[in-house]
Amino acid sequence: MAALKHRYLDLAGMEALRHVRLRPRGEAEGTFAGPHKSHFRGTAVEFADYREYAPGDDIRLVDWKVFARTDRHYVRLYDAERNLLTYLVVDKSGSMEFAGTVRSTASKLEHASRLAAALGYLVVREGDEVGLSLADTALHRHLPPAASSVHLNRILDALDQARAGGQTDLAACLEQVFARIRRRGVLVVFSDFLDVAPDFWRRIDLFRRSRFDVILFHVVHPEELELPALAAARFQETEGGHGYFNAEPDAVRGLYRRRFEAFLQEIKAGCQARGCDWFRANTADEPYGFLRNCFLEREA
Amino acid sequence: MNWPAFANPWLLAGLAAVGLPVLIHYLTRARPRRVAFPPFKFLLEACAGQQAVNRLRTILLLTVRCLAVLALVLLFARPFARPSGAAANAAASQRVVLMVDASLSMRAVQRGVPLFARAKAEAADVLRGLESGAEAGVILVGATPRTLLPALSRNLPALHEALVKTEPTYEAGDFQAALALAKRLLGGTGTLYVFSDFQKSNWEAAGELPAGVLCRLRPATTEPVNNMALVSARLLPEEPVAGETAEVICTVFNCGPQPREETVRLQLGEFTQERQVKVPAYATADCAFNVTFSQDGLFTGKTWLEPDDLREDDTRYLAVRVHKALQILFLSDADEGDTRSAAFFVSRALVPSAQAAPGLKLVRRHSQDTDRGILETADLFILVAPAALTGEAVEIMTRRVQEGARFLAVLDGPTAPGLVPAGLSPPFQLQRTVLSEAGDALIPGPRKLFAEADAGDWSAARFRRHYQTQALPGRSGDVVLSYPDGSAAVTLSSVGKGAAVFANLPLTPDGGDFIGSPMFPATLHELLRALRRSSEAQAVTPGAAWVLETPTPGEGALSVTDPEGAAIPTQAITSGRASRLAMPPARLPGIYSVKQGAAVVGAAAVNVDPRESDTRPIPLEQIKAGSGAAVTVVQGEEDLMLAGKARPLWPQLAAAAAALLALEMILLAVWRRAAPVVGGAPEVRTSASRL
Repeated sequence: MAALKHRYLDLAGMEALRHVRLRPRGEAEGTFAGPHKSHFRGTAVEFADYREYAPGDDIRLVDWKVFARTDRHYVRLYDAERNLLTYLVVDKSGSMEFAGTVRSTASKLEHASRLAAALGYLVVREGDEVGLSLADTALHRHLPPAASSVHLNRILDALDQARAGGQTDLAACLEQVFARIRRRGVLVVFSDFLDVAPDFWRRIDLFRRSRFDVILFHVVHPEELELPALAAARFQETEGGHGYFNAEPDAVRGLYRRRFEAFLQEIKAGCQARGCDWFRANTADEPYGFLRNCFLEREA
Repeated sequence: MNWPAFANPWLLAGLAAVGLPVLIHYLTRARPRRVAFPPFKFLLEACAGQQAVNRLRTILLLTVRCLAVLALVLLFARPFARPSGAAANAAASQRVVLMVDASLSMRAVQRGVPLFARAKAEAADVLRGLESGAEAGVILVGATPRTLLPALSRNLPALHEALVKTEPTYEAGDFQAALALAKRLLGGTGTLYVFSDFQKSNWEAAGELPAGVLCRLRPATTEPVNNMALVSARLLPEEPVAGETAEVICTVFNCGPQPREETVRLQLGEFTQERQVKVPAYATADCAFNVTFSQDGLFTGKTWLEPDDLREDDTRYLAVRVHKALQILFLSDADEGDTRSAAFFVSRALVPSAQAAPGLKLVRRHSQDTDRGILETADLFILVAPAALTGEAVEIMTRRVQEGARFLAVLDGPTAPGLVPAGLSPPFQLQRTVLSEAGDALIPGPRKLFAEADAGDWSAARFRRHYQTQALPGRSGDVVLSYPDGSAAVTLSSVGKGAAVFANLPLTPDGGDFIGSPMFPATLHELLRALRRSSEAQAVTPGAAWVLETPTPGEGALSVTDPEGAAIPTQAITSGRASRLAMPPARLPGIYSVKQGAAVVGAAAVNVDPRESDTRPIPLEQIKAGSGAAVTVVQGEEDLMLAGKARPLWPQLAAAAAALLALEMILLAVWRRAAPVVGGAPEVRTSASRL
């Protein structure tokens, strides 16, 4: 792990996340034993229940004190602890390319990639498994969860090679992700959610019904919040549209700010209603400090 | 509807600048930078509602700016509304009369420029501005208004040349005659310009402005002319005798809002004096100089003030003929030896002895013993009853009194009715004889005899009068003394240039004890003085024809020279020992001398009309206009030609431009404060820039 070196992963900066761990709100369902509580029965130290002995059970698990009292054979069951499966979905549509008029910050895709890389590193560092999906109208790259550093490198390479473009159909992408995964875990989505439609929420509901822990990182650029500091601008559509809109940002800033804030609140409310975590990821913020705050908030 | 015309139509080319705000708007707008903006739809949603409003605001703002530019361009082009109706016809007819006030008051100098020069220059401007083909005339207003050319003329250069050569007169302005002349020239259509200082004293009696014409009144000044003037200088008595002390009474008029103290100087013959006089605001004050002429003869002189803005009325001239003695023709049929007759007491009271009454030469005659010579040379006729005059004597005396002689009749006895000639206009009518055995007291009448209020005291005197009289209507002011029943006892009336006294007093010992009273000679002498004072002054002013009377002691033709020494053509009306010369209207104030050969035999003073000294203007709205006349007062630096043709519209345009600019600023301020979108109307799917 110490050998990792990538443009989206600053290990020195990751020191801020040294004491941070991604813990699922539910039970983990990883392939391997891990530090997270799961619904499986296993050999952990935590007693869970009794069960009548059946042939094939390990005789060491028979509780002889119960046999002495009841003259029946019962075996003791213990909780199994599994590792965590984390699914990172990064939106790489055209809108994620926005980096501001003077490129004062990283693009939204770069910022999302940086967050995803940090999160993947944290997950792998804890022995959990992490997967990655790059999405626009469809999944372009899907790396199933794995826990090795080699896999982490693959994820980093995939993020590095990702180029923003095309339109967005996050709902379809999530549906494809759901179809490809077999066990529940944590779904982390990095997107600007500009094309949120009812289908998107239905897919989120789908994950939630499957007891996924869902975290949405809403990536925004400061100029999306406040409009660019220009005297006049011709605002053009992204993701293939050809519409444009001439305006003086100073003149329309107030109205726009109110509308965009309402949009953010709408997404946030949708998440809260579904028990999802929602974080506004401003590209101007330092990513690791932001992530630490997110984890602290989540655990609080 | 009459479209407005423009004084500077070439400036209308500036209308091309009306689109300037739009052009500037598009040229100076910020060049939009292309920004691929992911939340594009939110921007659209946020601003779509404002789009129409903003576009409307921008259009409104540009419209206001364009209108403001339009108003400014029109303002500089100086539009004016053409007159309508009768006024339009008047203007269109191009018949113009310029009435220029050339009266004395227009000689006033303000800021170094005489008012007349200003008026003349402005009139010349109007004349130059007339279109070719226009008919114009110029009336110079003096005592006798005159036109520079006999009728309206199209020869405007000649008229202009004549106007430039005009000079103000020393005369009073007769605007009534001037307006009548203007009315005749215009014939009911055209434009009348009046350049005047609009003195109230002249314009009050001017009558109406001509009907049906466009009248433009142009005050020569808007500032008051503060003026001190000598409005009168009189000698009392008018023709003193040698050795007699006479008074020169000067009246000073202060035509200003502040009381002033002035020094009045007199130079008359060998006398030079000065007096201080305090004059309240807009009032007169008198000051008197006492002069005693040691010998008879002709004396000329003047009184004057320190010069002010109107210096021509600061000097008044005097011409005084001092007689050797006052010749009194005393007519009575009483014997000279009758020491109980009224004639005896009257003659003794007047001339007790030759030494006691210097300057009085009394010639006593019986009423039937008069010759034409004595009647023609007497200065004062005293008739004491009983006396029965011949018709010729009455006729001559009446004429002589009209010409300036004095007349005193004592109605004492049955012949009294013959001593009341109708030609002398007695202020009463003799009614009947009365018997007042106890005697009647005297009551002072409206006309005072003595200058001091307590000097005349007749309360102790009683008169057994002979006649009851009744004052004629309107003549009660001539009564000096009266009886308790209202009968006039003594009257004093002006008759032509002379004066007459009728004394209904019995002046015999039987008639009362008055002749024994010291009041008797005092009353007689005071009556004599009053008689010499009460002649109607024949003031001669420039511009009016007049008659000059002079004694002609020798043979030879008379010649008259004006104050500048120029000969004046005259015509003799009468000749003999005294001549009367018909003089043309005087041009200058000053002393006009009459010479016979090389000797100066007579002189007369011509002084300016005191009405011209009152420089207060009349409120122009008080000047009446005839029916259909459109009257405009042209004030300040307005273009006279423009005013003459039409009503200027630039004030309205200036106000409109100011209002539009203010509206633009208010709109900007309100919109910037109230809404975030100002001038930044978004535009979707169009290449046009912001509005």
